Amino acid sequence: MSSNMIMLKSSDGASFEIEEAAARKSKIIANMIEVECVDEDKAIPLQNVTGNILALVIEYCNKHIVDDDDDVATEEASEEEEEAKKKKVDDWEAEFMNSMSLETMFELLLAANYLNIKSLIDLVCQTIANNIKDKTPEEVRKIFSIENDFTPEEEEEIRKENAWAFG
Amino acid sequence: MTTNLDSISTLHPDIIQTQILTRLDGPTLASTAATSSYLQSLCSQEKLWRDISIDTWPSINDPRVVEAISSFPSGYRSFFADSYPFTEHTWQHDKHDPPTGLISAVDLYYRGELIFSKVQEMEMEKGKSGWFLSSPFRVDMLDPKESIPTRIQYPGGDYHAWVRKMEEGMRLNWIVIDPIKKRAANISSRKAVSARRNWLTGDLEIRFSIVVAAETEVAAVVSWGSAEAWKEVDEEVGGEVHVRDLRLQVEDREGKCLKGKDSLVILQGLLEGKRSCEDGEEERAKGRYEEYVGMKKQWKERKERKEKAQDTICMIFGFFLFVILWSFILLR
Repeated sequence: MSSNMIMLKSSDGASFEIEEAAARKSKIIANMIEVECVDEDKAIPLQNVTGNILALVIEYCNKHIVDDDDDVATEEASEEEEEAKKKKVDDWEAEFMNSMSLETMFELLLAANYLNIKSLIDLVCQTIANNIKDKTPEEVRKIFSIENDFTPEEEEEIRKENAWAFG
Repeated sequence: MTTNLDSISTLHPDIIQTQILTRLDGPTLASTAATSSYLQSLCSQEKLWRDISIDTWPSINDPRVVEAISSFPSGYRSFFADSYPFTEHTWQHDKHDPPTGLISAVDLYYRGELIFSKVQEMEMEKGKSGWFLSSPFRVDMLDPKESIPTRIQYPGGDYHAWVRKMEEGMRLNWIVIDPIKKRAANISSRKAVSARRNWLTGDLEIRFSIVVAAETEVAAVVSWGSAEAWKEVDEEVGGEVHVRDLRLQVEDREGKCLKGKDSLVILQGLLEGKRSCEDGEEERAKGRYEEYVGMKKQWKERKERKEKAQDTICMIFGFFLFVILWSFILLR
């Protein structure tokens, strides 16, 4: 590995080593590198991200940096190859998201938002949206542990208003 | 009850609104709004519903429709709730007050690609209203000589296979908007219910009909033909097909077009009908249509039998009259 390695430090003190190219997926870290406030020997402290979440973020970034490199190398790849590759990434992403709880998903979303990794924000949000697609209000409440704070009258009213959607 | 850690409220409202809610479809958005007062306030933003509405029906981005929707009780949210689900016709009591100033907003898709999009007010202004109410009802979205290029090719050869492909790939939304009563309804079957060649013009007619009370057909018809007027699509050579006609009419069970007044009463019943968006509604709409076509055929046969029986009785009666007359003359 010839590329530079960067150290990241989570809020609970765990250190992670990551390739610079992968770290650049985060706009925040990329900016830090640009303005050269990254010391070779010192880890970048990330106060809002815990170790287990940071590990997931790094896993995601590493996976996608490899794919990006491949894209450059095989620019003239046939459409079928492109498609196969895209499917591979999609499968990996599906598996990646499948393995985590909703709680983790929310934390990952907060981390992705904090680190400004657009594609990861998109992935997590789309997964959350897919989770509640075509669900009744009761099911959505259960999925997100949402407390029903409507009065019976209010609930009746809103049910009537939205009756078209959930019959 | 304490709030759990994995509650969605740990997320910043901006993230929920701009990243998650924008990825939901209409029914899920409505369902999410009904979970708690916090999510209700987030899900009720006009912009969300405006974006989702325009995304679904690009034609409504028209000043006349925008103005009409702005007067709806909850703006685009009401409009979406009116127009997205299927509507079940309910009979109206105040039949003397047909809607006026209706607007049509039409979007035609082929395999997910927008082919035609247009807004048009129904011509029933005061000067003509008497004429409009008593003549056959018909809304034409195209001028008689107009035809819309579509980039859809008829490859030539197997006409029936092509017709099937066209029927399967087409989606039509025809929204009727009543700016005065502040209601809207999508009166198309969305998926096509039939595709047939018109024997007179040679054009392919695809119907997006809904059946009202098992005796009336509200038919949105798209007709496809060759680019040159009065010329059929060449079956050998093929070529690009154009939308030659896009119309709305209301037919009775004998296939006759209803008059303006009766048609408006039917449309009103659809505008104010019960909404439903259960799964498989499109297939049920097609099922109802096919049932209706079957019934129409039976009615026709029964009518023909009745007429035949009447003819026979007339003939027998005539024959006896003839015999009696002659016997009277001869036996005198």
